[in-house]
This record gives sequence, structure tokens and C-alpha cells, in this order.
Amino acid sequence: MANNQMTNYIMPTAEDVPPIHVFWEELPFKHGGFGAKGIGELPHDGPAPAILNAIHDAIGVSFNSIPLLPEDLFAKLCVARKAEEPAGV
Amino acid sequence: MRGNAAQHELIAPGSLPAVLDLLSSAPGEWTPIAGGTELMVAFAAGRLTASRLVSLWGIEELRFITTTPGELVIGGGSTFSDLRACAAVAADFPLLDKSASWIGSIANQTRATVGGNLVNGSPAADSSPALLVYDAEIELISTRGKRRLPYREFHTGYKQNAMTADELLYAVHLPRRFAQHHQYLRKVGTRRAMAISKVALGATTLIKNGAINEIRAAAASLAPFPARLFKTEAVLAGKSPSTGVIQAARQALLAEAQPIDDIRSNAHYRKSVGANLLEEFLLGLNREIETR
Amino acid sequence: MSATEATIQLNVNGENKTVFVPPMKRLLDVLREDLSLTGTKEGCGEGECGSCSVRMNGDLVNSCLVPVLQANGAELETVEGLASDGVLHPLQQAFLLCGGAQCGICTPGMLMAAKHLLAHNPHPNIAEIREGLAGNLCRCTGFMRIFESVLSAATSNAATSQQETHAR
Repeated sequence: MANNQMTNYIMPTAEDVPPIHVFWEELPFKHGGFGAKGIGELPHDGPAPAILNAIHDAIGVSFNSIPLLPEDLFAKLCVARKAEEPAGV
Repeated sequence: MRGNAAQHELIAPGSLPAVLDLLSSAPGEWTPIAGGTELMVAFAAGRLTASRLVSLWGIEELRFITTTPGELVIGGGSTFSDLRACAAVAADFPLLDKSASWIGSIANQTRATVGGNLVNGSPAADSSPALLVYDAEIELISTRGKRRLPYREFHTGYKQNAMTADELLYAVHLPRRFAQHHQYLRKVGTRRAMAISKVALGATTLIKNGAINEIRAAAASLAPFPARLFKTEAVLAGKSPSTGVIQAARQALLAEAQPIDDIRSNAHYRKSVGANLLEEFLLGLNREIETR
Repeated sequence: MSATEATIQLNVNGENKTVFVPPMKRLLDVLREDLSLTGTKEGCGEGECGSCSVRMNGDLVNSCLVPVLQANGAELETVEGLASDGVLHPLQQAFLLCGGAQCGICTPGMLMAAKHLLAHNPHPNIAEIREGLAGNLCRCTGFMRIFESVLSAATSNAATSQQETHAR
């Protein structure tokens, strides 16, 4: 198991989590009683791509896998910087 | 939970002399346990090899913080909550106060002890960089008496230290002479709270005629144990923190540091961030020199 | 006192208890197994999640890291001690009204950490609440409603103390 201890499974603490605003988009589901729809864990899938897209928008470097750690960002930016340096420097 | 409580003997003699007698009567036989924030984690994971433990919790002779004109003396049994609650620590040793707030969570700080943090000897130990740049001394005690050594000589290898099997860490002595020093401490962890260090850098220095004087720089997680960066200090001593000096100091740190890849980070990141922290400290010095 | 079993005296939520257990047994396990106080939860067993938080002699501690011998003679407060005579503690009321619990595993620890925070700081701001609860992990709520619950309880504390002042 990759993360078999809480000390290595780094999830946000109360000091890390940003303010979360919840908005409801209510479109009744015709197959559900009174239009009800299960929401379960589906919204779980949205944030990661949104964050990776935001990073791309911010720094122009794209990533397409998670977990995305500062070390990964750093490694890719170093490669990007090396590619920019003129030869002989 | 993989620990079996019935397989471990735990006793609490309740006084310092009684514990020291026990340790000297059978050196290496009994493992001291203070707040348990390390050993109980090992216990629950089924990794606690010590079958005989002696409790240091509640021994008042070890849990004190006293001030003399020249020194602050912190008993090895003092918790990090004790440090945070002590006005003298915040006033004279702000970097140590900051470190104490980094130890786990509040619920860990009420139990984790200074002695335990140092004797456990993790390269990432939170209190170590501050203690190193404050020229701390460690006082050890046994039935044979007390002895002191500079903290920078305490760690001798990965999770190895200068203590003998019959000794306890009695106190940490801090010289009260840093009021005029520029001081810096920053930890880069995995998140904002309850974060084990990826790298941390501490530094203290005087500025005399615009030049660095009596520089101390120390890091966590850039060596097998928390350590001073002596070669980096040598590059900075007597110099003004100009652009050229900052670059030279960065290179010295990058050469001196020996971090590893582990589950928390990698060597490349640690070294690079360590150099960035050093640069941040030196740029801060520049700004302060200019405003005087 | 033998290696295998020790007589441990505990004062739990105001009541004196005596247990006869291995001295290394975790306080968490003594509470849950020997005293049937299962409100305190095990989330990680490493002191990283705060689900096992209790107050010991006025300090907030992770009971999974306390060998019960070190709690001998201590005054313990657990989540079971919050309500009195069937009346919920203001914090419990606030969590109910503000939706501060989903699966409930973190909740006892959150309540004890919040109680500890309010004991030292009766009117915390959001930053202080975040810091006070930083040792308690929640995987369900995203923390927001927990912060609201604590703020709400703190505000009702203020209301109570105003009433007390005006009544004099």
C-alpha cells in the first residue's frame, strides 16, 4: 500500500483547506423520484482537472496526472528553464 | 493495532534518582519513555522492540524552565506546550518558540518533550535548527554525575548520539545573548499544520559595519542528522550580503548539503529549496542593513 | 505492580474508576474496552488524526499515544462528559444545528478540541478556530461547517455571558 500511515497520507488540515463555497445547480432528473438525483462521490472527479488546468493557466506548463506535488512542478520547471538557456551559458 | 501491551513491561519509579539508578544497574536494558509521541507510534505499528520501558512522565525534576542572567535552562522533560507558554522563551529565543508551534498538533505538543525530540534524533527534528543556531548546550545526567557538551556535537550519525546507555538528557542550556542578532527560521513541509519537514533552515547573525558577524546556519533534512552548515557559514563570515556573496553562499550550501530521497520529498528539491531559504535570509539582511 | 497488570486509578468525567490492565495498554483502549466509553474513536493510531482526543488534567492529548500507566491519577474528560443531565453541551447543539458532522468519526475529537479551544479562547476568530482544530482531520465535511459550528457555539457563549451579566 502506497500510503499506509496517516503521517504519509497528506490530506488538508483545518489550516490548509481554503474557503469552500457550495452552489446548487438544480436540474430535475426525470428518472428520479420527485426529480431526485444521487450526487454521491461524483463531484469528487471535478476538482483535480480544474486545479491542473489552473496551474497550466498560471505558469504555462501542463500536467496531466495526480498526485501533483511541489517536487513535480519544480522538476518540470527546471527542465523548462534549462531548455530556455542559450547554449554555452 | 499491532502492538501487544502484555509483551512490554512499563514501570514508573517516579523520581529522577530512582530512574538513574535503574539505568545504571542495567545499562541498555530499560528504554526511557517520556511523552510517548514516538514510541507509542512504534508500539501501535508492532515495531516497538523495547520490551522493558521506564516512564519519565511526571518526573518534576526533569520538567522545568529556569532563567538566570546568562542562560535559559530547559529541562529535558519540558513539553513543547511548556515552551510555548513560557514568556522567557518567546522573548529571548523566538525561533525556539516558533519551532514548538510546529510540533504536530496541540495534542502532540502537550506530550512531546524537548528531550524526546533530541534523543529520537530525526534529521527532520523541529526544535533542532533553532537550538543549533542559538549555540545550545546539552546537559546529560547519570549516577556518575552531570556533563555538558555543545548541541552541535550531540548527534553523531543517523539516529545516533553521544549519550551512554546509563544517561538521560537532563537539560538544554541556551545562552541569553541573541537580543541583537538577526534571526531566521523557516520550515517547508507537506502542508500548513502537522507537517513533517521536507527541509528547514535556521540562521542567526550579527551585522557589524554592514558585514555578517558570528553567523550560525543550520538545517533539518539536509544531512543524516540536524546540523550546522559550517562551510556555508565560512563563505559568509565577515562579508556583506551582496549579490556575489549570496550566489557563493548558495553554491556552498548546495555542495555541503547531503539530503536524501524519501517518502516526503527528494534530494534535488530539498537542496534547491534549502538554498532558496538561505537566499531569503540574506536578502532580508540586506533590506535591514539598508534601512539603518 | 507486575509487568503484566497494574492498578490504574482514573477520574473520568467526574467519576472515579479503577482498572486492572497492562501498564502499556493505550488510554484509548482502556476507555473504549475497560470503561465501555466508546465515544472516543481510533482513526489512525499514530497521533495524526485527533479522533482519539481527550483532555487529561486540562491538556488536550491523543489518547492513542498515552500508555495508561502515565494517566494514573489523572482527571480525564471525554465526549461522554459533555452533555449533562440529558442536556446537550452548547458545542453539541451547535454541531447539530450547523451540520458539523457527517459520518461522525472525527466528531468526538473535534468536540473535545473545540471545548479545549473555547476554554482558553472563548471568542476565537476563524483563524484561531482553524489553528485550534488543526490536529483533527475530517474527510467528510471539508471543515467549513465545523468552523461554523464552533463559531456558533462561541457566539452563544457570548450570549450566555451577557445574560449572566445583565441578570446581576
